[in-house]
Amino acid sequence: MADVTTPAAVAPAPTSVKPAEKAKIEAPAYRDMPCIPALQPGSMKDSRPYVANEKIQEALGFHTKLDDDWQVTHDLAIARMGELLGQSRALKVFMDSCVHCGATSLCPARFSPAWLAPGT
Amino acid sequence: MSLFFALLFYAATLILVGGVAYKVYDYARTPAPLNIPTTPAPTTTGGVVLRMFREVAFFESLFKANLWIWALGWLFHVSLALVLLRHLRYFTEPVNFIIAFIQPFGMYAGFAMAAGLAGLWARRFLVERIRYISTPSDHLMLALLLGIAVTGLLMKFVMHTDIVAVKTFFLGLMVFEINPLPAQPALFLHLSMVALLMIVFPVSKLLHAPGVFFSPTRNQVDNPRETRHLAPWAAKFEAKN
Repeated sequence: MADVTTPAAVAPAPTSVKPAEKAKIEAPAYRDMPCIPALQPGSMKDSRPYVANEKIQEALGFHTKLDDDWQVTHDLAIARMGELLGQSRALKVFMDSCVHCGATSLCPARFSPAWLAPGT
Repeated sequence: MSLFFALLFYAATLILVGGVAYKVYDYARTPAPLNIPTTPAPTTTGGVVLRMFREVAFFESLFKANLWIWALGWLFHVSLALVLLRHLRYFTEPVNFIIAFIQPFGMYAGFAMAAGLAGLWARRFLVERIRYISTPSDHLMLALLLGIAVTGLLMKFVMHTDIVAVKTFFLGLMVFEINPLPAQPALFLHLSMVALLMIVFPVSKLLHAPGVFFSPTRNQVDNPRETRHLAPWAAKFEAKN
């Protein structure tokens, strides 16, 4: 676990989002015919990982700050991805096999990040 | 032109066989650290074999997930299988009687295959969410397969090609002999697209064909309490403590 190639928290740390900026999420109205609701661009823009505080991150061996040079962060993330691909057959097979069919459930290539948990 | 296609098919075959063999080896050597069969899952190896058979032959998961995609996808894949079997007659002499028997079915399967592909491609344009998740590679695969199907049907029903010469060409390739290929645009298109599909196979989503057999959510037995599941690299961490 936690080695040099472990990326810094790749997503930006959760800055406090002003309520005004938050995407408005509304359940689509009831429809008699089960048609697919239209896409809403930006509806996930407030979605961020819940990052633990720096003390905890450091204790776990994670980087706590993004490098000023994005290339460094980029290379760390790519290296880490390569490492994970070598550790998990599920991840490797699913990354190769997904056919973007769009059916949303029950896929043989459906991956859960939790499956990377032990020792990674 | 015959020389070009001869070299193209030698290269394409090498890339397809070598590439897929490497990918299969790569999948096989990558550890599966956890026991993650999607439940309800079989609790015996025999059950897993049966589940995998249903998955491969009938696309069980897709059937349960989305009937429309299943109908189009299954129609396409079954037709493709029939069409491929039908094409074995160009590569074997004498032709096996089963292959001879399915010739007419393979012919109709050509239409079914084109229809399935057209439906699958239409989804990528007409359904907003599917359009959103479609990548150029998705369109390329559909374009190639549909192109192959259409040129094939054209040669069968509109502008005939000298298939005896085509067979001589391919049988010749197997003993490293280059025989003349009939000069016909539809045939050239057909063969070029087939070769291109063979070349991109090992680096594309077409890897779902070997990949499904390595899917841990489908090929694992649901027995986490009976047998402890331990990946070699995880065992190393344990030994340290």
